[in-house]
Amino acid sequence: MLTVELCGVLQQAAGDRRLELDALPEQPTVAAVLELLGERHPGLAPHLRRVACAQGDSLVRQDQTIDMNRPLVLLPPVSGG
Amino acid sequence: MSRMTDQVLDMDQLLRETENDACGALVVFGGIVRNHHAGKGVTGMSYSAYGPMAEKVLAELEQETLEKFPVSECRIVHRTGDLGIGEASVLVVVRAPHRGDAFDGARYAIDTLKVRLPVWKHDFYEDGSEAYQDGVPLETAAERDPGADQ
Repeated sequence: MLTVELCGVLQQAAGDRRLELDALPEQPTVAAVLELLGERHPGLAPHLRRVACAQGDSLVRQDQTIDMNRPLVLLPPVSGG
Repeated sequence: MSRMTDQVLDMDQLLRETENDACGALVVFGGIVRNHHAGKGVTGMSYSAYGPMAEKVLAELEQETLEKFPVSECRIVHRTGDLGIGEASVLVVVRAPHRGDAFDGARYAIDTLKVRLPVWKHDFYEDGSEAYQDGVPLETAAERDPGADQ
């Protein structure tokens, strides 16, 4: 089970701040998880190509394997300042 | 002051923290909540952040600015939560021996913040509607990652 935390507009799109994903492939990459998310939560699908992911205080690249013991945080395009 | 805070930003404190007798130039950039966006009247704004990463991004950006420009001091703070029109959402303070370097450093810091800091603006409009502002995808988003589709 992977916990996915949503930021910004993604919370509106999914109707929640946090999702649980199960039945994932072993050692999934960021790209694989985003693809599954789009299938299981169609409201998120239009956003996912512009979403970056983080674990802890660092970004994880699309081809990077996810640490299943930590939440995967989805970061939509940023608009600070 | 933490770099990310839900409290009103304290300019006086930042100026005290960056006092430096070797600097003849002080540049302060403030980002202020304005009363319009994309042709619509705005009544207020809410800022949210991914805190663990945002604090680190600002610390690294301060250090990067100090290394890229001949500036002596750089401090950046960003506010979260609900802000009214006219309130400061971000302050960048740069001090340098000379003004050109201070302007350049401050410009670099705010421009880079805009594309790296995990913060999101949510506008509240005069007509009662609300919306997240669109922004800039971070560097590891598939749209910006050349390896994403291989």
